[in-house]
Amino acid sequence: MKLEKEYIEGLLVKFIEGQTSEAEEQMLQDYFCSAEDIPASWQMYKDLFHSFKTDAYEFRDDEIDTMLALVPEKKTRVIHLWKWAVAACAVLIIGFSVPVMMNQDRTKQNPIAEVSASVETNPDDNTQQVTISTSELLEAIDLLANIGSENITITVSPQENGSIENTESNNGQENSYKLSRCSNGSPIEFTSQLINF
Amino acid sequence: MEIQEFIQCAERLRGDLLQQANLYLGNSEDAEDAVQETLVKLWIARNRIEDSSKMRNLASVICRNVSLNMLRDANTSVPIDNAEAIAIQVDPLSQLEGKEYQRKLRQSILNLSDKQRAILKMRNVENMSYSDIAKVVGTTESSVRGMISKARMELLKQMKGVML
Repeated sequence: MKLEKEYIEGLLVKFIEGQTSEAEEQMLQDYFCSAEDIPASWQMYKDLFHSFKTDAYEFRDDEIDTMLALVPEKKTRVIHLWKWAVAACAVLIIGFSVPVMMNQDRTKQNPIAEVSASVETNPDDNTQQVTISTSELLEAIDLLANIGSENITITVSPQENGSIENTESNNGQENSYKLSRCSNGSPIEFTSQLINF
Repeated sequence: MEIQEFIQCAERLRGDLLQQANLYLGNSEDAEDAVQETLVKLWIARNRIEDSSKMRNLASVICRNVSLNMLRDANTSVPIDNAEAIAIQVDPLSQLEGKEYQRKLRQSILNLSDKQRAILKMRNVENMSYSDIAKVVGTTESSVRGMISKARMELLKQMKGVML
Protein backbone atom coordinates (compact mmCIF):
# COMPACT_ATOMS: atom_id res chain seq x y z
CA MET A 1 0.00 0.00 0.00
CA LYS A 2 2.81 2.39 0.98
CA LEU A 3 4.72 1.38 -2.13
CA GLU A 4 1.70 1.90 -4.32
CA LYS A 5 1.16 5.36 -2.89
CA GLU A 6 4.76 6.33 -3.53
CA TYR A 7 4.50 4.98 -7.06
CA ILE A 8 1.37 6.95 -7.77
CA GLU A 9 2.87 10.04 -6.23
CA GLY A 10 5.82 9.68 -8.61
CA LEU A 11 3.44 9.25 -11.54
CA LEU A 12 1.53 12.37 -10.49
CA VAL A 13 4.71 14.44 -10.58
CA LYS A 14 5.55 13.05 -14.01
CA PHE A 15 1.95 13.67 -15.08
CA ILE A 16 2.08 17.34 -14.10
CA GLU A 17 5.41 17.69 -15.86
CA GLY A 18 3.93 16.13 -18.98
CA GLN A 19 6.41 13.25 -18.89
CA THR A 20 4.03 10.32 -18.38
CA SER A 21 3.34 7.82 -21.15
CA GLU A 22 -0.18 7.30 -22.40
CA ALA A 23 -0.28 3.98 -20.48
CA GLU A 24 0.84 5.62 -17.24
CA GLU A 25 -1.81 8.29 -17.60
CA GLN A 26 -4.39 5.57 -18.13
CA MET A 27 -3.16 3.93 -14.95
CA LEU A 28 -3.64 7.16 -13.02
CA GLN A 29 -7.04 7.63 -14.61
CA ASP A 30 -8.12 4.12 -13.55
CA TYR A 31 -6.73 4.55 -10.05
CA PHE A 32 -8.40 7.85 -9.32
CA CYS A 33 -11.71 6.82 -10.82
CA SER A 34 -12.00 3.41 -9.16
CA ALA A 35 -9.86 3.18 -6.02
CA GLU A 36 -11.72 3.59 -2.79
CA ASP A 37 -8.81 4.34 -0.50
CA ILE A 38 -7.65 7.56 -2.11
CA PRO A 39 -6.00 9.78 0.50
CA ALA A 40 -7.95 12.94 1.23
CA SER A 41 -4.88 15.01 0.38
CA TRP A 42 -5.27 13.78 -3.19
CA GLN A 43 -8.82 15.01 -3.50
CA MET A 44 -7.81 17.54 -6.09
CA TYR A 45 -6.23 14.88 -8.28
CA LYS A 46 -9.32 12.77 -7.88
CA ASP A 47 -11.39 15.73 -9.02
CA LEU A 48 -9.00 16.29 -11.90
CA PHE A 49 -9.20 12.75 -13.26
CA HIS A 50 -12.94 12.62 -12.71
CA SER A 51 -13.28 15.81 -14.70
CA PHE A 52 -11.81 14.03 -17.74
CA LYS A 53 -14.86 11.76 -17.69
CA THR A 54 -17.27 14.68 -17.87
CA ASP A 55 -18.20 17.13 -20.59
CA ALA A 56 -16.50 19.97 -18.72
CA TYR A 57 -13.89 20.36 -21.47
CA GLU A 58 -16.38 20.46 -24.33
CA PHE A 59 -16.56 23.64 -26.33
CA ARG A 60 -20.07 24.98 -26.64
CA ASP A 61 -21.43 25.92 -30.05
CA ASP A 62 -21.24 29.62 -29.26
CA GLU A 63 -17.60 29.27 -28.24
CA ILE A 64 -16.80 27.68 -31.58
CA ASP A 65 -18.83 30.38 -33.32
CA THR A 66 -16.59 32.93 -31.63
CA MET A 67 -13.48 31.13 -32.84
CA LEU A 68 -14.76 31.24 -36.40
CA ALA A 69 -16.08 34.81 -36.39
CA LEU A 70 -13.83 37.66 -37.39
CA VAL A 71 -12.76 39.67 -34.35
CA PRO A 72 -12.42 43.43 -34.82
CA GLU A 73 -9.01 44.74 -35.75
CA LYS A 74 -6.66 45.86 -33.01
CA LYS A 75 -6.90 49.43 -31.70
CA THR A 76 -3.58 50.57 -33.15
CA ARG A 77 -4.75 49.49 -36.56
CA VAL A 78 -7.84 51.61 -36.11
CA ILE A 79 -5.60 54.52 -35.17
CA HIS A 80 -3.62 53.88 -38.32
CA LEU A 81 -6.83 54.01 -40.32
CA TRP A 82 -7.71 57.27 -38.61
CA LYS A 83 -4.34 58.70 -39.51
CA TRP A 84 -4.88 57.73 -43.10
CA ALA A 85 -8.38 59.16 -43.05
CA VAL A 86 -7.14 62.46 -41.64
CA ALA A 87 -4.34 62.58 -44.19
CA ALA A 88 -6.76 61.82 -47.01
CA CYS A 89 -9.12 64.55 -45.80
CA ALA A 90 -6.25 67.05 -45.65
CA VAL A 91 -5.22 66.20 -49.19
CA LEU A 92 -8.80 66.53 -50.39
CA ILE A 93 -9.30 69.86 -48.63
CA ILE A 94 -6.05 71.26 -50.03
CA GLY A 95 -6.81 69.81 -53.42
CA PHE A 96 -10.17 71.53 -53.55
CA SER A 97 -9.36 74.79 -51.77
CA VAL A 98 -6.19 75.76 -53.67
CA PRO A 99 -7.87 75.91 -57.08
CA VAL A 100 -10.81 77.74 -55.53
CA MET A 101 -8.49 80.31 -53.96
CA MET A 102 -6.59 80.69 -57.21
CA ASN A 103 -9.83 81.14 -59.06
CA GLN A 104 -10.84 83.88 -56.64
CA ASP A 105 -7.53 85.66 -57.31
CA ARG A 106 -8.01 85.36 -61.04
CA THR A 107 -11.57 86.55 -61.05
CA LYS A 108 -10.49 89.65 -59.15
CA GLN A 109 -7.88 90.51 -61.77
CA ASN A 110 -9.53 89.57 -65.00
CA PRO A 111 -12.46 87.56 -66.19
CA ILE A 112 -10.04 85.50 -68.27
CA ALA A 113 -8.58 83.43 -65.51
CA GLU A 114 -5.34 82.34 -67.06
CA VAL A 115 -4.10 85.81 -67.72
CA SER A 116 -2.53 87.67 -64.84
CA ALA A 117 -1.30 90.97 -66.13
CA SER A 118 -2.34 94.58 -66.08
CA VAL A 119 -5.23 95.57 -68.29
CA GLU A 120 -4.99 98.67 -70.36
CA THR A 121 -7.78 100.22 -72.34
CA ASN A 122 -6.88 101.44 -75.74
CA PRO A 123 -8.48 104.90 -76.14
CA ASP A 124 -8.62 104.54 -79.94
CA ASP A 125 -10.89 101.57 -80.34
CA ASN A 126 -11.83 101.06 -76.69
CA THR A 127 -10.36 97.54 -76.57
CA GLN A 128 -8.63 96.17 -73.52
CA GLN A 129 -5.02 95.16 -73.94
CA VAL A 130 -3.28 92.71 -71.71
CA THR A 131 0.40 91.99 -72.05
CA ILE A 132 1.19 88.38 -71.28
CA SER A 133 3.94 85.92 -71.98
CA THR A 134 3.80 83.66 -74.98
CA SER A 135 3.11 80.62 -72.86
CA GLU A 136 0.26 82.40 -71.15
CA LEU A 137 -1.03 83.46 -74.50
CA LEU A 138 -1.00 79.91 -75.70
CA GLU A 139 -2.78 78.83 -72.51
CA ALA A 140 -5.32 81.56 -73.03
CA ILE A 141 -5.89 80.41 -76.57
CA ASP A 142 -6.31 76.94 -75.27
CA LEU A 143 -8.76 78.10 -72.61
CA LEU A 144 -10.79 80.18 -75.01
CA ALA A 145 -10.88 77.30 -77.41
CA ASN A 146 -12.45 75.20 -74.67
CA ILE A 147 -15.11 77.70 -73.75
CA GLY A 148 -18.50 76.93 -75.15
CA SER A 149 -18.68 77.98 -78.78
CA GLU A 150 -22.05 79.69 -78.29
CA ASN A 151 -20.23 82.46 -76.38
CA ILE A 152 -16.94 82.82 -78.19
CA THR A 153 -15.62 82.16 -81.63
CA ILE A 154 -11.91 82.06 -82.18
CA THR A 155 -10.41 82.05 -85.60
CA VAL A 156 -6.79 82.29 -86.59
CA SER A 157 -7.23 84.67 -89.47
CA PRO A 158 -8.13 88.31 -88.67
CA GLN A 159 -11.88 88.54 -88.23
CA GLU A 160 -14.32 90.57 -86.32
CA ASN A 161 -14.88 87.98 -83.70
CA GLY A 162 -11.30 87.17 -82.76
CA SER A 163 -7.86 86.84 -84.12
CA ILE A 164 -4.27 85.88 -83.44
CA GLU A 165 -1.67 88.09 -84.98
CA ASN A 166 2.04 87.85 -85.24
CA THR A 167 3.39 91.37 -84.98
CA GLU A 168 6.93 92.33 -85.84
CA SER A 169 8.45 95.42 -84.31
CA ASN A 170 11.83 97.07 -83.85
CA ASN A 171 12.82 96.42 -87.43
CA GLY A 172 11.84 92.81 -87.39
CA GLN A 173 14.07 91.98 -84.43
CA GLU A 174 11.21 91.45 -81.99
CA ASN A 175 8.05 89.47 -82.33
CA SER A 176 4.83 89.32 -80.39
CA TYR A 177 1.56 87.47 -80.72
CA LYS A 178 -1.77 89.16 -80.27
CA LEU A 179 -5.04 87.41 -79.53
CA SER A 180 -8.30 89.25 -79.88
CA ARG A 181 -11.76 88.06 -79.12
CA CYS A 182 -15.16 89.62 -78.76
CA SER A 183 -17.62 88.31 -76.26
CA ASN A 184 -21.00 89.88 -75.51
CA GLY A 185 -19.84 93.17 -76.92
CA SER A 186 -16.76 93.58 -74.72
CA PRO A 187 -13.69 93.16 -76.88
CA ILE A 188 -10.53 91.93 -75.23
CA GLU A 189 -7.09 91.64 -76.70
CA PHE A 190 -4.14 89.68 -75.44
CA THR A 191 -0.69 90.60 -76.60
CA SER A 192 2.29 88.46 -75.77
CA GLN A 193 5.53 89.88 -74.49
CA LEU A 194 8.00 90.78 -77.15
CA ILE A 195 10.00 87.84 -78.28
CA ASN A 196 13.56 88.53 -79.28
CA PHE A 197 14.96 86.58 -82.21
CA MET B 1 -13.12 14.94 -40.59
CA GLU B 2 -10.91 12.06 -39.52
CA ILE B 3 -7.55 12.64 -37.92
CA GLN B 4 -5.39 11.46 -40.84
CA GLU B 5 -7.21 13.67 -43.32
CA PHE B 6 -6.98 16.56 -40.88
CA ILE B 7 -3.23 16.08 -40.43
CA GLN B 8 -2.65 16.02 -44.18
CA CYS B 9 -4.67 19.19 -44.74
CA ALA B 10 -3.03 20.90 -41.77
CA GLU B 11 0.42 20.16 -43.21
CA ARG B 12 -0.55 21.78 -46.48
CA LEU B 13 -2.01 24.86 -44.75
CA ARG B 14 0.88 25.37 -42.36
CA GLY B 15 3.10 27.52 -44.62
CA ASP B 16 0.33 29.96 -45.48
CA LEU B 17 -0.80 30.20 -41.87
CA LEU B 18 2.75 30.95 -40.69
CA GLN B 19 3.01 33.68 -43.29
CA GLN B 20 -0.34 35.14 -42.25
CA ALA B 21 0.52 35.09 -38.53
CA ASN B 22 3.91 36.59 -39.24
CA LEU B 23 2.24 39.54 -40.97
CA TYR B 24 0.33 40.32 -37.78
CA LEU B 25 2.94 39.43 -35.18
CA GLY B 26 6.14 40.32 -36.98
CA ASN B 27 8.29 37.49 -35.67
CA SER B 28 8.47 33.83 -36.49
CA GLU B 29 8.43 32.58 -32.90
CA ASP B 30 5.10 34.19 -32.07
CA ALA B 31 3.82 33.20 -35.49
CA GLU B 32 4.64 29.56 -34.71
CA ASP B 33 2.70 29.80 -31.42
CA ALA B 34 -0.22 31.38 -33.25
CA VAL B 35 -0.28 28.62 -35.86
CA GLN B 36 -0.20 25.93 -33.19
CA GLU B 37 -3.11 27.53 -31.40
CA THR B 38 -4.90 27.91 -34.72
CA LEU B 39 -4.57 24.21 -35.49
CA VAL B 40 -5.67 23.22 -31.98
CA LYS B 41 -8.79 25.35 -32.38
CA LEU B 42 -9.35 24.07 -35.88
CA TRP B 43 -9.29 20.56 -34.48
CA ILE B 44 -11.86 21.55 -31.85
CA ALA B 45 -14.03 23.03 -34.61
CA ARG B 46 -13.46 20.12 -36.99
CA ASN B 47 -17.16 19.27 -37.08
CA ARG B 48 -17.68 22.56 -38.89
CA ILE B 49 -15.24 21.59 -41.64
CA GLU B 50 -17.16 20.36 -44.65
CA ASP B 51 -14.24 19.89 -47.02
CA SER B 52 -10.61 20.85 -47.40
CA SER B 53 -11.38 24.12 -49.18
CA LYS B 54 -13.63 25.18 -46.29
CA MET B 55 -10.85 24.15 -43.94
CA ARG B 56 -8.50 26.68 -45.53
CA ASN B 57 -11.01 29.49 -44.98
CA LEU B 58 -11.73 28.50 -41.39
CA ALA B 59 -8.03 28.14 -40.62
CA SER B 60 -7.36 31.58 -42.01
CA VAL B 61 -10.11 33.18 -39.91
CA ILE B 62 -8.94 31.42 -36.74
CA CYS B 63 -5.33 32.35 -37.44
CA ARG B 64 -6.29 36.00 -37.85
CA ASN B 65 -8.28 35.98 -34.62
CA VAL B 66 -5.55 34.19 -32.70
CA SER B 67 -2.91 36.63 -33.98
CA LEU B 68 -4.99 39.69 -33.12
CA ASN B 69 -5.75 38.31 -29.67
CA MET B 70 -2.06 37.65 -29.11
CA LEU B 71 -1.27 41.24 -30.01
CA ARG B 72 -3.99 42.42 -27.67
CA ASP B 73 -2.88 40.21 -24.79
CA ALA B 74 0.82 40.90 -25.27
CA ASN B 75 0.90 43.39 -22.42
CA THR B 76 -1.55 41.71 -20.08
CA SER B 77 -0.50 38.06 -19.94
CA VAL B 78 0.63 36.73 -16.59
CA PRO B 79 3.22 33.96 -16.52
CA ILE B 80 2.16 30.78 -14.81
CA ASP B 81 3.86 30.15 -11.52
CA ASN B 82 4.93 26.55 -12.08
CA ALA B 83 6.39 25.94 -8.64
CA GLU B 84 3.19 27.06 -6.99
CA ALA B 85 1.10 24.64 -9.04
CA ILE B 86 3.29 21.66 -8.22
CA ALA B 87 3.51 22.34 -4.52
CA ILE B 88 -0.21 21.99 -3.97
CA GLN B 89 -1.25 20.81 -0.55
CA VAL B 90 -4.94 20.42 -0.07
CA ASP B 91 -6.64 20.84 3.23
CA PRO B 92 -8.56 17.58 3.68
CA LEU B 93 -11.10 19.32 5.90
CA SER B 94 -12.26 21.64 3.13
CA GLN B 95 -15.69 21.13 1.73
CA LEU B 96 -15.40 18.48 -0.93
CA GLU B 97 -18.86 17.88 -2.24
CA GLY B 98 -21.86 19.93 -3.12
CA LYS B 99 -23.19 21.52 -6.27
CA GLU B 100 -21.46 24.84 -5.67
CA TYR B 101 -18.11 23.11 -5.34
CA GLN B 102 -18.64 21.11 -8.53
CA ARG B 103 -19.69 24.24 -10.37
CA LYS B 104 -16.54 26.00 -9.27
CA LEU B 105 -14.41 23.07 -10.39
CA ARG B 106 -15.98 23.25 -13.82
CA GLN B 107 -15.42 26.96 -13.81
CA SER B 108 -11.71 26.44 -13.17
CA ILE B 109 -11.58 24.42 -16.40
CA LEU B 110 -13.36 27.22 -18.25
CA ASN B 111 -10.84 29.68 -16.83
CA LEU B 112 -8.10 28.02 -18.87
CA SER B 113 -7.24 29.50 -22.22
CA ASP B 114 -9.01 27.87 -25.16
CA LYS B 115 -5.73 26.36 -26.24
CA GLN B 116 -5.07 24.84 -22.82
CA ARG B 117 -8.57 23.46 -22.45
CA ALA B 118 -8.44 22.07 -25.96
CA ILE B 119 -5.13 20.36 -25.57
CA LEU B 120 -6.08 18.78 -22.23
CA LYS B 121 -9.27 17.58 -23.89
CA MET B 122 -7.33 16.06 -26.76
CA ARG B 123 -5.01 14.08 -24.50
CA ASN B 124 -7.13 13.04 -21.52
CA VAL B 125 -10.73 13.24 -22.78
CA GLU B 126 -10.41 12.22 -26.43
CA ASN B 127 -7.48 9.98 -25.49
CA MET B 128 -5.34 11.06 -28.42
CA SER B 129 -1.70 10.02 -28.21
CA TYR B 130 1.00 12.63 -27.72
CA SER B 131 2.34 11.84 -31.17
CA ASP B 132 -1.05 12.33 -32.85
CA ILE B 133 -1.52 15.64 -31.05
CA ALA B 134 1.94 16.68 -32.24
CA LYS B 135 0.96 15.86 -35.82
CA VAL B 136 -2.30 17.79 -35.59
CA VAL B 137 -0.53 20.82 -34.15
CA GLY B 138 2.42 20.40 -36.47
CA THR B 139 5.10 20.35 -33.79
CA THR B 140 7.26 17.93 -31.84
CA GLU B 141 6.00 15.55 -29.17
CA SER B 142 8.19 17.20 -26.55
CA SER B 143 6.71 20.58 -27.41
CA VAL B 144 3.23 19.10 -26.93
CA ARG B 145 4.30 17.65 -23.59
CA GLY B 146 5.50 21.11 -22.56
CA MET B 147 2.17 22.68 -23.52
CA ILE B 148 0.18 20.00 -21.72
CA SER B 149 2.33 20.32 -18.61
CA LYS B 150 1.66 24.07 -18.50
CA ALA B 151 -2.05 23.46 -18.96
CA ARG B 152 -2.17 20.87 -16.16
CA MET B 153 -0.27 23.16 -13.81
CA GLU B 154 -2.58 26.04 -14.60
CA LEU B 155 -5.66 23.90 -14.08
CA LEU B 156 -4.41 22.56 -10.73
CA LYS B 157 -3.64 26.11 -9.68
CA GLN B 158 -7.18 27.12 -10.58
CA MET B 159 -8.64 24.13 -8.74
CA LYS B 160 -6.52 24.90 -5.71
CA GLY B 161 -8.06 28.35 -5.65
CA VAL B 162 -11.49 26.73 -5.55
CA MET B 163 -10.61 24.33 -2.76
CA LEU B 164 -9.06 26.86 -0.41
